[in-house]
Amino acid sequence: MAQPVRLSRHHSHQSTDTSLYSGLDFTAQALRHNISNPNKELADSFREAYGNTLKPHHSFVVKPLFSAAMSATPYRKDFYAKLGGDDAKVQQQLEKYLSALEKIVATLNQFLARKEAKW
Amino acid sequence: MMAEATKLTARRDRPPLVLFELCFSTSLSSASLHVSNHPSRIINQLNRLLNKHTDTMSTFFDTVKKSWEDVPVDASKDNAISTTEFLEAAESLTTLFGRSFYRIDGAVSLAKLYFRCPGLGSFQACQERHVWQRQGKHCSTSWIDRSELTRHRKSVTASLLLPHFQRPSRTLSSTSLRRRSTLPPRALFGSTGTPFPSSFAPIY
Repeated sequence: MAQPVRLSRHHSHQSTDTSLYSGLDFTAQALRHNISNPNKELADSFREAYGNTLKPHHSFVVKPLFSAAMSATPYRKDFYAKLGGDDAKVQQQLEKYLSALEKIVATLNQFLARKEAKW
Repeated sequence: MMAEATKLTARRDRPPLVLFELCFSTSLSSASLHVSNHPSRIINQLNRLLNKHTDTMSTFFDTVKKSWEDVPVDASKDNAISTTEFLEAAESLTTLFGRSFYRIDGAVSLAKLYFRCPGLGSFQACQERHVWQRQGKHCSTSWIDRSELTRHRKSVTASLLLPHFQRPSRTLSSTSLRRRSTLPPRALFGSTGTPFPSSFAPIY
């Protein structure tokens, strides 16, 4: 699995799409962390992903608000139940979906790391 | 007529109530009899209910509009990602953060602000630019990024990163300037104070 590039605050405002890309990276990392750690709650996974992706871009005002918003994420059992009734099928499809998303995010991050994508 | 149709659609999650409403409106409400009693409407409604409850094995990934697996990446063109499929997949991903995603009812608005809206705002900005630039047949995301960077539109980028405050501030500025131009004798406070309730007040 390709490791996503961790963007620093220096690169925070590269282009309009960076905001969308960071959101995708945040979601992908959170879901991957949650799949890899079956004992972790969803809020823990999203907090972990937030620290790696969006946190460097947020100001001291937004950070505590975002941390509070993490508490609103559903419990693990409720979330996977909402994704589908058959847990094995959900896990299989989520793995495929997530692998494809990580591939896209890695491609985007490689592009964003280039000199031509910075200003 | 429209209100009743909306009510039926909004209460699909409660089939007994919907069926009751169908029967009730059919038998008692003479004003809406010719509408709610239409066979095609009832059949469509029942089919929808039937599909919803028999297809219990479908998952979120079966119902998603576009999966990330369907987004083509052209390795021959420097890993160019097709923008149309990319934006559709991104839009589909935002449906993951629907109402059922949030645990605490009171925190729904706050969580929605930070989970769903920024993603959707960025997605819509990209989509608008994609529609504009599709005429030039440049359809990869990296090309769109490059085009923005070469045009040095930093102010647009920076403002798009704060979509929730950008729109009210624009409304306040434009409304106050308009009032100022149309009513020259008024003081500046008068022209900016009046549009405040319609712009910033709802979010404070």
